[in-house]
Amino acid sequence: MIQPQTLLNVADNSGAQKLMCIRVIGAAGNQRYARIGDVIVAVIKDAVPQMPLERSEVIRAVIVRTCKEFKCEDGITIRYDDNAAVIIDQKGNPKGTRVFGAIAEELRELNFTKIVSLAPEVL
Amino acid sequence: MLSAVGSGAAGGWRPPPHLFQRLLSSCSGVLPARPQAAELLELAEVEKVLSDVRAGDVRVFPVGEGGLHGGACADYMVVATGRSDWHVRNIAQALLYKIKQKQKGSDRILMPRVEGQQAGKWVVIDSGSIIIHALEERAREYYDLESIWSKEVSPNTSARELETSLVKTRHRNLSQKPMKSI
Repeated sequence: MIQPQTLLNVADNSGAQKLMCIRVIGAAGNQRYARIGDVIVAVIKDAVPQMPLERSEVIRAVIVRTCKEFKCEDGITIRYDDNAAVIIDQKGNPKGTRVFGAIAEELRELNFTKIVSLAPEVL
Repeated sequence: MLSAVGSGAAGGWRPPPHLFQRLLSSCSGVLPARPQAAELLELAEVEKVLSDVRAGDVRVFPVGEGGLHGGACADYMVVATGRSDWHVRNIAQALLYKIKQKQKGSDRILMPRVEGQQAGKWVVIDSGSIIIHALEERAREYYDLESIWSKEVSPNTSARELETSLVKTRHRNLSQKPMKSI
């Protein structure tokens, strides 16, 4: 359940550390929440120095982990310990080269196979 | 940058027993669980198409049972390089054409999932047990996919690094004051 003003961790090595969501893509009237697999527009609140991405840059990201439990088709519920996103560009390619943490298999069906194939562990 | 150890994701959360079944079923039952994959395209056919279309530097990584993800993701990862955006898109088109040809005459044609077709820098064709990545030259250098799938035992190596890093060190007294106790 990610909404505007939510702080998220960044699960890749693109240089950003913390993001704040400012818009959920596809939401109606800014009222809908974002779940795993949704694309959000976010601003970088904290970044590692000397990387291509800097603080207060507006970028797009796809959510890969949420604290709110997420029900899969086969009845399994997955709940992570934090909210995290992977930064992508306009075309859907990830900006970083490596992804950290476990990624849910459901991202594959939502056309994010690139992120799933970069992941160290797929749930 | 550390990997999953420092991420805090699901830290201390152990998969409950019923989740193991999901992991096990996706590991052991790869072939029966995804019957379409074996029919969509075989590895040999993929390699032939890629050599026909003159894709550069074709590499196959077996990431099945013993490899990364524990076999949950796919059986094989095929990576190919295209000389330009147009070439990358052409590689994808050739593979899709081959898949269509193979299934000619049947009532339903199962097509794989294609991502990144419009952009052209990185096109992924996901046919279940074989995932084919077609990248442009610079994108391939940037993402460096070989190093992800070459090291298979990455969870084990990170545990070993942790053991060696937690070594008891002797406190060195660099100040002028004498030590009060050893």
